[in-house]
Amino acid sequence: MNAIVSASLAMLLASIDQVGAVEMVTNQAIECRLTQVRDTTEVQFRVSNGGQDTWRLLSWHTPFDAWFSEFMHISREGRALRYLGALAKRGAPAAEDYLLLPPGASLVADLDLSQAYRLEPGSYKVELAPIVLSSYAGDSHAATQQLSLACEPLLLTLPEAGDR
Amino acid sequence: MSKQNKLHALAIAAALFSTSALADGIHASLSMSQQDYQASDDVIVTVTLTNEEHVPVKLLKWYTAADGVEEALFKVTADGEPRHYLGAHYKRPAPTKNDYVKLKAGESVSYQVELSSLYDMSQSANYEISYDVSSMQLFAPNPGQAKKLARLGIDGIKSDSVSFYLEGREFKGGAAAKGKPGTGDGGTTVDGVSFTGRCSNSEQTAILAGLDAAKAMAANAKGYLQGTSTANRSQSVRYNTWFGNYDAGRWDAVTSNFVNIDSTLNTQPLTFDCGCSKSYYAYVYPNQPYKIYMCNAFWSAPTTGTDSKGGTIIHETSHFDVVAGTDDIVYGQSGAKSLAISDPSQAIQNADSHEYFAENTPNQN
Repeated sequence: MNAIVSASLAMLLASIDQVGAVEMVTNQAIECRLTQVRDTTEVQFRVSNGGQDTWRLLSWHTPFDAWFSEFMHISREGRALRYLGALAKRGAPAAEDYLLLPPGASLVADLDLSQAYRLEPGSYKVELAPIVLSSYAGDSHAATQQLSLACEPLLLTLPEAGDR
Repeated sequence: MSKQNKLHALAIAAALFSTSALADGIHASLSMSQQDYQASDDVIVTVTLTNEEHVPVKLLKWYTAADGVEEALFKVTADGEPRHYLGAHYKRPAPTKNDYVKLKAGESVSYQVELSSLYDMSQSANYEISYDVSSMQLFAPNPGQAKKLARLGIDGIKSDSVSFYLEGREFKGGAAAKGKPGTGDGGTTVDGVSFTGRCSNSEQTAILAGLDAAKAMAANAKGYLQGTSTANRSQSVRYNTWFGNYDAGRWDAVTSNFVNIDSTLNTQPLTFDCGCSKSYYAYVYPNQPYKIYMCNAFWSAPTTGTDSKGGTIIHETSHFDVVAGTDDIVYGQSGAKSLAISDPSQAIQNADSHEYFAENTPNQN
């Protein structure tokens, strides 16, 4: 059980249908954020589109598919925590497995990390596998651009029960 | 494998066996299209409810099969012994208006219900079933009606029973290993394999066929890895395709994984759950052996070959920490082949790589 974040990216790239040439791009208008709900094991993940184009993402291996894959890496003083959620075998993605991110929109996932990790009071570093988005111009159009979005790691602090 | 709960506009068309009973104006009858079933058959009963009052009656949906079976709606016996309901019981708030279905005077509704996923029907026996529901809230709050029902002391609907014979599975382990209820979470156990999450007879049959295929694949993979002489290993196209360049340590690691997979499938108490409705093939919690949750894609997969039922069971079994502790690093044949070339040390940790090696489709030496 030592999947790493970069390997998850490889899986995502491999699982996206690649028809024709897809250009890897950067796009400052797409942002992601992982935030802790005050002092708890709950976090909120948000990806926002501040640009003019519609993007699409495969929910697999992202916070939108919790907890059916190891899309997150949590460590404490450099030591990885064991992932206790499920691992699922999948076939080709169906339409319902994709999420659309239109201009001005956000996608939000609320997660309780204690459902998949054994957490005690202390400080943790929470890293997400990069989110891969594809340009979207309708179901009949192949994506022409792809974007790998790396989110800033979250420093999660869980106080002792008495300190809350 | 469909768990049918279709709402039919009309009552029984060509039912061969049908009985009925009268209770407070709602008449319930059961019908089945056959009287003999095999262990691999789903057991489908049609429930027809008819309002024989001159006024509309509102029935609590939870006690009909309108939205699927969500309560113990039937009394089932096998050779006279009660069979407990295996499905979920829901804790619910008090019913609201929307939880009732209205039957006009004279109107009938029919529902088809698959019973082998709801009651243990793995044993050969004469089964007898009747519709039997009761609840103080079964009929909608209606002052006139409530008074009348209270006066009559009526709080339920019962049908006469229908019976059928079901030929149970053949048990390899003989009489001692016969199907018995009781995995603690409402499932059934057949020949050392447990089922939870409402596995119907046809689903159990599909899983057992997949398990047999998985055992054959695991034995073949183990035999191949152990039986290939050291001198020939670097030329193994089969190994090379899925696990990359030959390396003695990696070959041994993969061999050890398949020894464990083979032994697990043959000796450990496996549990298969049919409650998942996601698009996946299956999933497991790696630290919770030996329970595998089957999902939609599993049912339409072939028994053997690429991405088959057998291969899926190999894949999932390899995830268990106590077996091989594999991860999902890449999915699919092309991804697994690329990984073998780019990173053999990751390939030997990848569940699909093990599955494809075991499925060996197309065949390679």
